[in-house]
Amino acid sequence: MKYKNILINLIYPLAVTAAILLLWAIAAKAIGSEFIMPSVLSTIKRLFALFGSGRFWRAFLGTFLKSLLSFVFSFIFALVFAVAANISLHAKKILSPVMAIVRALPTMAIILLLVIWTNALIAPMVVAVIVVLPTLYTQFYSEISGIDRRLIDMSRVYRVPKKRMLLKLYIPSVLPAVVLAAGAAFSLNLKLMVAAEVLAQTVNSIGGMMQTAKVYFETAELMALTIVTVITGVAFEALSKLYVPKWRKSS
Amino acid sequence: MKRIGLFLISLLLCFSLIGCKSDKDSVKIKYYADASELTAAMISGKIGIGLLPEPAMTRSLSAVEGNKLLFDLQELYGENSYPQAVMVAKTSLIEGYPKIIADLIAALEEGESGQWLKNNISDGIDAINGHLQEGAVPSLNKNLITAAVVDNCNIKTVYALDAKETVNGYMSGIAAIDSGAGAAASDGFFADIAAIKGGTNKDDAIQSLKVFMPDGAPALAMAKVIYQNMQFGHTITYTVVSPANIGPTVARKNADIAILPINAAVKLVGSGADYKLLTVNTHGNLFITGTEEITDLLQLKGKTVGVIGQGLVPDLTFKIVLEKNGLKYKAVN
Repeated sequence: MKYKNILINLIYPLAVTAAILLLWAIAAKAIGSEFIMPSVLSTIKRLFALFGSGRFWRAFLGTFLKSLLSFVFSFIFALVFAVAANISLHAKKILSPVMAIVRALPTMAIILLLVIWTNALIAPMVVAVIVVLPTLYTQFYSEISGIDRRLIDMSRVYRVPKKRMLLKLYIPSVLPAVVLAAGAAFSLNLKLMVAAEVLAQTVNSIGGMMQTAKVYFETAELMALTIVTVITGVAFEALSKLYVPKWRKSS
Repeated sequence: MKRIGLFLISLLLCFSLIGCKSDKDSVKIKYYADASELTAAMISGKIGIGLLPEPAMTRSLSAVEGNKLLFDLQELYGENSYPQAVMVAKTSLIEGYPKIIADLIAALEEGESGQWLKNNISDGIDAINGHLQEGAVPSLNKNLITAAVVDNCNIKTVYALDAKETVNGYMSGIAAIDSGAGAAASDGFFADIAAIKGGTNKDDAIQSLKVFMPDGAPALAMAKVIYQNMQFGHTITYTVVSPANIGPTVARKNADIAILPINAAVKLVGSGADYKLLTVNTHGNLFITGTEEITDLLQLKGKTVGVIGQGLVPDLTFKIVLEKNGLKYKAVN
């Protein structure tokens, strides 16, 4: 059974990846221009060339750390706001419209304003927070409000201390969903960060490298950088999915 | 909680270390997407020195309080300046219809050094803006373009073979700045205009010959040709596209004849297989302006200069000039 699970979890993703590569190879052959659609081989060669380049690693570290920082900020505040909205009706009434407005802000237009108000380093991080924070807030709020009311009532009847309720009831109830949401949200955060870096022309960033690859007509490098971003995002999503079953087993 | 705090602090530290290799002797370069963004930053005082192309440069002298022309980048580059915008044509067109090419080049030479344009600024700019691709926002404003601006755009037609050394020199220069930016043009890329002038067209007329050029100074070189809608006995359409689109237009082989930046031309079609270089049409329109008292390039040490377009001709040429003068530079956010 265990081997069957591993097989299924490996085979489907591999098959999908192979199908994408095949479609890509067919399209590249049909178009016949390295500038418009580089071949799979030239892109992979470029990918390995990037891994050996100091400039790439500086850019990757820059983007990754900015993504992590903005994500942690969004995560903490989304959690705090979700808890507050669940505890206090006033908090909920204030936060709902604020989150709705922030969620509705046109992302790329905001980037242009933020570059004027701040700089090319801060602007992409603020854009990521503007999108990821409301998304996480909605998910966290729904998870927390979904905790079984009977368990909460029972804890109150038996006068379970608040700290124990938090550690033994609230956190275990929401943690699996929170971790899963976090994995997907980090991937989203990374994607937004890179897009914003392209517009803001951020130095030492994957987005900046993509913009340079575009103006140099190095489409293979542009594709390789895209693959790096996708792999990083997918890896974090997969990590979060792995962590949840392990945690469930240990609890 | 302590662990989270420590983690965040170490994140911040790593983060600041990446950005923080400060060097007082370097010229700091801050990138902007286009001339209007850089000019806006100069107006608001966020940046004091900017590298701007004409016609944006002249506009900035009045728009930005206290802004003065500091340096002419073409003079700083030396060697009779660098090739900026060039004209390429499909090899099949050159072989089948050399007379059209010869007639077009002759028409460009008639408007020599933008002389016609200087006397007909309104007509010329209207003609260019009237041929903009759908959706493109015009960048040329006839009320802001004077004869001096046209002169600053350095419009002059130089034949491919005559410009070969300059082109190769410039391409090696930018490759030395960033290997990804440069490329070597093959000898076959440079068309022999003298041979073309002696050629004759095939009998059948071309039903649709497409000429593309980017908006801005490169389009000014074609102003007279567009205004007079020269057809040379065939059916020719002139389209002005936004600068970001000219490269893909040539890459997709949509253009029969195109004006585009020299580095894009060599990078995309420098092998000479599909397109050949006909002429260099503009020879630099970049100027450094600033609100500070700077008389020597070395005084830029430690100062921040706004540059438009990372990896484009202004950025690369500026870096060539800085290195020529022994100045270090670093990009900042």
